[in-house]
Amino acid sequence: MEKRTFKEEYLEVLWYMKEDGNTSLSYFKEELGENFKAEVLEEIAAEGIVQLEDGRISLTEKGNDYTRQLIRSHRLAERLVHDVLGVEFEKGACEFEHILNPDLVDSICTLLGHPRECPHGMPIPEGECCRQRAQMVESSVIPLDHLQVGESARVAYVYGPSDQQLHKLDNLLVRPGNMVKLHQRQPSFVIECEDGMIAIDERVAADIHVWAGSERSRLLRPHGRRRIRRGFRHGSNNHNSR
Amino acid sequence: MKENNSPKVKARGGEKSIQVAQRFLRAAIVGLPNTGKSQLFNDITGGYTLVANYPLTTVEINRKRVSIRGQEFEIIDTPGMHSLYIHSEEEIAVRELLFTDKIDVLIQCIDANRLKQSLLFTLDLLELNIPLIIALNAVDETEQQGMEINSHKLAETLGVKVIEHIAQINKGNEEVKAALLRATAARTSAAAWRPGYGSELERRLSEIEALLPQDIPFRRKKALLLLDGDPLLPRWLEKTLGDGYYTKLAERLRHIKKESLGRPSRELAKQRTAIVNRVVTEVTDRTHRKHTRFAQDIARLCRHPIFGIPILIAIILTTYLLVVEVAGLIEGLLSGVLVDPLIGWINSLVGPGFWNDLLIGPYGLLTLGLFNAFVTVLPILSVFFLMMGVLEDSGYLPNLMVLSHKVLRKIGLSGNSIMSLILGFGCKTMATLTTKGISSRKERLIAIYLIAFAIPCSAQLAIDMAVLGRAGFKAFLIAYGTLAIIELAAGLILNKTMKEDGQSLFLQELPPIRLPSPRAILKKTAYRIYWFLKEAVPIFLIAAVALFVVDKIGLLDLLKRGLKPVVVTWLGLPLDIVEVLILSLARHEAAAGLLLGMVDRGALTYIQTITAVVITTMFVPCFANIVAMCREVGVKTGLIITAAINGSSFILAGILNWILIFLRVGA
Repeated sequence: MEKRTFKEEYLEVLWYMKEDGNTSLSYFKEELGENFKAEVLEEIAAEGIVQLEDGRISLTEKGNDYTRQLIRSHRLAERLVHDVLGVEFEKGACEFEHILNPDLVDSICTLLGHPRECPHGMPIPEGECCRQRAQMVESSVIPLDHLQVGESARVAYVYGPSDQQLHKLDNLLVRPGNMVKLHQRQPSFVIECEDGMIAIDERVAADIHVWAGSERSRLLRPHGRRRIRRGFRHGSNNHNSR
Repeated sequence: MKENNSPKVKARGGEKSIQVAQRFLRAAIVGLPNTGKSQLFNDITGGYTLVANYPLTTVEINRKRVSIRGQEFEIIDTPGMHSLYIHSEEEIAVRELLFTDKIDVLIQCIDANRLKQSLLFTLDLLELNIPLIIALNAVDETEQQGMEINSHKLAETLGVKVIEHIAQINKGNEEVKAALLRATAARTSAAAWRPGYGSELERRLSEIEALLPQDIPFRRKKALLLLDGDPLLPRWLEKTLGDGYYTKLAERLRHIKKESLGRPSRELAKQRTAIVNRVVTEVTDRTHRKHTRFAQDIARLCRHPIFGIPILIAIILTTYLLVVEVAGLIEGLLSGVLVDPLIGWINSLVGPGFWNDLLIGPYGLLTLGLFNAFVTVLPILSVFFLMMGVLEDSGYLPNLMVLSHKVLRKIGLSGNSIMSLILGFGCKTMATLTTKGISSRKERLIAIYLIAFAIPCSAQLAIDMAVLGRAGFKAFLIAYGTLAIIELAAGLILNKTMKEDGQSLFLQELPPIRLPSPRAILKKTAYRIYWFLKEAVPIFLIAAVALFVVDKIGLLDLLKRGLKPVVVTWLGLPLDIVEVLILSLARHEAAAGLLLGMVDRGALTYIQTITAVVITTMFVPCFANIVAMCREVGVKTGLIITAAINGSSFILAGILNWILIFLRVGA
């Protein structure tokens, strides 16, 4: 592995530790395993990206911004590869995340309808484009509430602010790959999914993202098994950390 | 070997069930909400529990013993659930039952309209390794829509018995019974197919499974739930296995999850979908699928922002006309044929005096008790229950949720809590119990308060409709308009004053609109009337005797004198209304029946009629409702709610009285 990617791997681990509220240096070393090299750590400390203090390690403000962008592009890349290409991201995403051109990343984010989670359910840091809710002329993935009444679309991904919402939608089969049809918007949204009728409010409707125009073209359907590249930690999970 | 036969089960109920297991077998009916579980329960046991075409009809686990060809069974009816992964306390009861009650055979009800959704739950059930029978409902409906489900193929694929069950024509009942006998005779479901999740997940799974003690039942399923991130299982394990054990397990679990790729729950969900999709593709034929669905169009109209409102108004008007006009007609007939000759006959037998008073005096056993119950109240309830049966079985009610959600959101209600509120018009006590499923405590409290407050229960609504009908449709509008405003205002105040605790979720399945079966509705009405006779008529009689006694010994007078300033001056009601208020404590429809008697005697003016209906609707949730509230929110809160409701009902009804006087309504 080149130094640059080494460095990024370090930063990724630090980001996950931050999500977990963990600053233990020994934990950091353990996570990296044989990839840990003291010189790389010294280097990024010298660059002012991390700060080291008796057995504790954390990102500096500068390191935070840099890593945030790095994580953002990585998780967006996963979304892109998973949703659009439907292929395993053994290789894809790891090359991708090194593109750190913010404009390009924002474009991808907009194309995907500003997803808030990667395919594994990890949060994607917000970009400038998300805050402005930028929309391309032809955004490929749109929230369900942008559909016309009577229109059908294939679910691209479902954002779940709570486990309960995610599971309930999942139980009713509102999940990636399935078709949904919008029946009405007022006074509540009513959608049809796999022959079941479901009433939801606009908040839930905005969390369901669908492929624009998927009724006409059955292209670009997410499918297939996915795997992520080894060594990339999706460590934190909501249920038992903290 | 069947896992749950292990004698070392320490879980609650385990030992007890082993001792009695020799005598009878346990069969639990499970399935998604609104898939016909209670209907099947009724069909097998020959009893009757309430069935309807919407979720939440059954909120409690029901058990009934029945003998099938000499073998004793305990049949258990359960509230609907979507999966063994649960996120609310409401569903935990069913899972506890399956985990600890040593169930010998499971029957899963599947609505053919929602085959995929149901099969996901089937995967869960197959993992329990308990013999499983599938009762496939509503295949007649899917056939009409041109979708064929090959139940033989389904049975073959899953390795379980699949029975097509159509309640309306008694199809499948005997087969279910036979299957019950066969499944339990075999004592194993070795033939059943077990879902697998690929080497990666399976490895994690067996790692977790190895961490669980050897002797706990359903190890694989529990390991799977832990991997899936079930929020309630850890607490359960802690309780049954002791603190130290779970802490150790949690540490390992965290590690295992960390090592796995991404969120295991997502991967699991994906694999399960793939399995179910494969099964569904194999067993269904959709080539002749028709796209025009008449029932769907009706449903769409019912919840349409514009057409939905006139439909709702038409339903209310129809109910009003039925209760006031049709029931009035029946009552007139009964009075003419039965009551008048009977009173004449008694008068000729015993002259004025004690016995005449006891039987047909103002508080007479016959006049206040029997005649009131049978001649006046029964016809009203019969027509009303018929109408209610049609609304319930057609699946109309949940569509009201879609219509009212925007308004009710302003008072902090959404989804489940709206449904509970709607069910409050049926029975307030049952509706209070359905609030279990609401995860936000604030929303739950608001719902419980509003159910207990200005909503009349079905029987009271019916009789009060008749009461107001004597005064005219305008009185009906004023009384219920006022109650609606009070209810909304109360909700608004509660919503504004109580602390926010998490966003509420509006996400509700809507049942398909169905043409109700006349037989089912008649049966339901008959049962409701039977329950009314069994539970309410004795209270009518006891109340008549009690009022007769307190009247004779002068206690009633004393009470009336004490309450005079409030009742007469503030509420503007005649003193006799005190009796109605006392009766409200026991049963609201009994009180309403008494009120109806007063109106018929001409004892109330126009304004008094309205005020009386408004206060008796609000005043004192009936005893059962108070108990249900205390059960759901604790005794203290329950009593506070009761006190608040009682206080505000007097204040608000008084204000209404003065407004009506000021506006010279009806003058």
